[in-house]
Amino acid sequence: MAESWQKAEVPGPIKALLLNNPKVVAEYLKKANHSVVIIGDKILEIEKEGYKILDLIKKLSNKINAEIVTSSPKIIEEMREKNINARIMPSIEFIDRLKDPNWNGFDGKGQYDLAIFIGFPYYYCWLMLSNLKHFAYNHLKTLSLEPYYQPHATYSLQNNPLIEAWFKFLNNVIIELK
Amino acid sequence: MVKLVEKGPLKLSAKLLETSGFSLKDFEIAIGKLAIEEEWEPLGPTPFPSIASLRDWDHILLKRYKPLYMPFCDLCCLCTFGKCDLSRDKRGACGLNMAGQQSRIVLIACCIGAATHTAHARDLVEKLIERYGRDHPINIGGEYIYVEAPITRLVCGIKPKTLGDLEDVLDYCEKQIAQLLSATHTGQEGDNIDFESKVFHAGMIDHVALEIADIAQISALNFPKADPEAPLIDLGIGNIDISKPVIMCVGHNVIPTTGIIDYILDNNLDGKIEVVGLCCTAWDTSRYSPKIGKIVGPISWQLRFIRTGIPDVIIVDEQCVRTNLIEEARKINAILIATSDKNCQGLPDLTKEDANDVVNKLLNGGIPGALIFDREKVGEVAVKTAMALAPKRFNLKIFPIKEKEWIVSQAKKCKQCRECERACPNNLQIAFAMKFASNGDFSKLSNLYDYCVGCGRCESACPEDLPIITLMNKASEETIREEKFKCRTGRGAIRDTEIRKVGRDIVLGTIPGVIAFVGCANYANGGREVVEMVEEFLKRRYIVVASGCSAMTIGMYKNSEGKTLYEEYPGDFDAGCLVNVGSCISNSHISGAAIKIANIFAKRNLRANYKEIADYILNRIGAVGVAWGAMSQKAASIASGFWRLGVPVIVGPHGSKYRRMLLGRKENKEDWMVYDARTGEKVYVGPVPEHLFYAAETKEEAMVMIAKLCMRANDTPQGRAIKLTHYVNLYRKFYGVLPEDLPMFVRVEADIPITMKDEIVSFLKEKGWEEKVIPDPTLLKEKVVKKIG
Ligand code: SF4
Ligand code: SF4
Ligand code: SF4
Repeated sequence: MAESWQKAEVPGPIKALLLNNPKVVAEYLKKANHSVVIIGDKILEIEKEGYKILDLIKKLSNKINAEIVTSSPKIIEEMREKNINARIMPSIEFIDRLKDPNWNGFDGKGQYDLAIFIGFPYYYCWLMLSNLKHFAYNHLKTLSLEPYYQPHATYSLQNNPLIEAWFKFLNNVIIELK
Repeated sequence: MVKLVEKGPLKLSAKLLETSGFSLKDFEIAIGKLAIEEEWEPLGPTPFPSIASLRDWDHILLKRYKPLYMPFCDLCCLCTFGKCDLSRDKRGACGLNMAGQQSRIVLIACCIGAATHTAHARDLVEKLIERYGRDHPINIGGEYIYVEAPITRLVCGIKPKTLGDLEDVLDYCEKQIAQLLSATHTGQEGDNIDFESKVFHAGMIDHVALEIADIAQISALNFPKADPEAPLIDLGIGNIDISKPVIMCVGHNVIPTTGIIDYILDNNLDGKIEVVGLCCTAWDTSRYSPKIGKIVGPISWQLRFIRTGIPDVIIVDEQCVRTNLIEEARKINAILIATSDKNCQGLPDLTKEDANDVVNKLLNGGIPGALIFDREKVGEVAVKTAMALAPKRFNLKIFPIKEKEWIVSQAKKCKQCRECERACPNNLQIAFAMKFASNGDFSKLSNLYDYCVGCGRCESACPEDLPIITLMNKASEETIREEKFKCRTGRGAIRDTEIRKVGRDIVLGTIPGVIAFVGCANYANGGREVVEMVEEFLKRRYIVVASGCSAMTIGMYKNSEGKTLYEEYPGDFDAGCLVNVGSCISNSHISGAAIKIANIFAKRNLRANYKEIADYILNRIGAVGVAWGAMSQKAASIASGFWRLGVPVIVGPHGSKYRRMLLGRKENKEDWMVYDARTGEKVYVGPVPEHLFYAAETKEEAMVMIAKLCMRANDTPQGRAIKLTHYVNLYRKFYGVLPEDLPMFVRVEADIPITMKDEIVSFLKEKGWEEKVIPDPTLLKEKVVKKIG
């Protein structure tokens, strides 16, 4: 059974479906009609270690035609350099909109049906996911691509704190998206 | 004029009752207190409000700022019906749903906070009355302060003059907390918005208690009295002379520490012993004796400092004290003395024993520490014990083990299991650092020092029992020795004269905002972020206010000239100044200042006139609280007191664990309508301020939000242009573009910052911007001058 990375984070009866096969992750990504990727500032720590994680996210969002949203100035800057129009919004504000069934999305095409999380402090992410789990479950699924098991998501990867293995996994997801 | 109201049947005109809109039941509470009352202002509508008296105001706020709940888990486990699964739309056996349960948790947290401050205030007032008498006058700023207790005036409708008067106010607070807590019982309140209204009430009561506590101690213990030039004092471990005996005091209630200071002075021991503090006791010790009281650092330095081996005697009073300090004291052969009935630490009560006997018992090792309730005895025992113990402990100080090889040998025991990291709130890479340390490279271990909040969870989780904090300490030994800073001690209240000077500029917006950096030190990325934010807004000539552990953090970094921000910026309540009000209970002077602006500058009546003043503050005073490391339930209740007054609060990432935000939705136009007090018409004013409670992910996000939340509906075009300059400027500095929501904040062309005029005008055109009306804004129908048809 999947265990939270922070051991004290015990979610209750509803736990995220554990995805440890890149192919299955890709399938869920493809199944969604209107997805959005929400990136946290912590992703920069991984970039600093030499893993081009933002490139991966760019590829992923391209393949599934997902918008990107973040409030991290550095990520905005890098996305701009990569010619990607990322939306700027504080994550908490974004969650508040994601949970509203009547919100029309950044593109005006209606509410999203899949929100993909990556790059947050562990607790910050589980709290945002917890809101959506309880208050947006009728219209939204969430996928955590964090290197840790996030129990409040609909789907989550396993604990994979070895960055190299996680990075490879995400790469394989992108390959499967072809 | 002084009016004597006879005790006994109260004579009140029916008209007064009718116009004031409160029930007779409410007023009965107040009868005893108004025995001698000065007619200083007409009595407003809500003296001593009950838990539902201000519910209509709360609902107005909560309609605009809606709760966003982020539950920790799916369950409620508060009664024997449970555990109940409340996930998604389920209800518990009592009928409660998730929104109800989460708001109930927030209320419980705020009740704990308010109760803690009230109990603290009660203890202070009782002990000070014992020493100084009920008639000891309230004096917190001499001729500079006429409005001595703005919150108490506003909430209770009375004007306390003596220590004895404060007891009456505390009776009221205690009653309210009991009522609020009872609402959290299974099968009471169930509606989340009504729970939230009660949260606001708990916060309001909290601020009353804060004010009572601080004005009592300022008046009786002769703390700096609203003094912008309160002394600069020593902060940091490096300032402690370890050749002397060291007494460490931790907590929030300064009374036992005053016993120590007095004993030192009475026995000519000044200069022969060090008294150092952590957390709010440290501020209040330095306010009591700036010459003797030194500050170690914020609460997150607690374990870290003990592990240096420096303290000989550890005094704990109340609140935020680690609950296993007996164990920690034993590790370094120090003595623990507990001094509060709320925090007995399992120690024997030796209050009635002879001081020398207690000292002997402590020195002979028969007992690990003592519980002593008597202030004087604490002083004598602590000093005598420290003096006798220090020479024997000298080799244990900085650091118990001298060679760095010790780190290597310890780190070699690390199994790389990462249990420590899975317990660390900041997910610090401890195992990685251990790997390097085992090879003699301590750099990674010492890097963690800046980001560790000193919680000790890593050690608890480590199967090898590695003393991770001590290892970090040892690896950072040089850094610790260099912790030598200067900070300005707490000045207390803001002078009426200062309010008069800046009130106009704040209300018109030409001073862009008042930003209060308050609260604990549970930082996600180290304290440096707080300093960076403070400096940014000081340079932009905001008024920056600080208190508690945040105020210490601000003093822990130096500029290129070796100066801290306290040395660089003056302590006045004015643009571009850094005001340290003092300990957590001094937060009352921050809300008090906002209230005083409405009273002194705008001449609004304060007395029992809560709604009008809160409406004034929400619409006119650009104040924002930032609690970047907020951790405690007290921080929750302090924040809540600000919310009800219409002051937004931003917390750092860990603050998301309060599990509830209060967010506005800027795109919903109907949420941002106010009455124009002159015409009664409903007018759109834009999302100002956009949120009431909000957890920012990064310091950059927070800085942009701070500037934005300072905007208010009443800003004059000149003021709005200044506020927009900072908002746009910060947004552009971090994100490189103009903010998308900019058109919402520009009402008329004159709002546009002159330096960016062309660019903004074309941006507005592109976005289809339309000019708006600037009203005389109010959310209260009853404040409309012309009757609405
Ligand atoms: S208080 Fe209500 S929801 Fe909570 S355990 Fe009891 S019955 Fe269940
Ligand atoms: S003491 Fe420091 S390193 Fe250890 S768990 Fe707490 S924050 Fe992490
Ligand atoms: S818990 Fe202890 S043994 Fe395990 S990695 Fe951390 S320091 Fe090493």
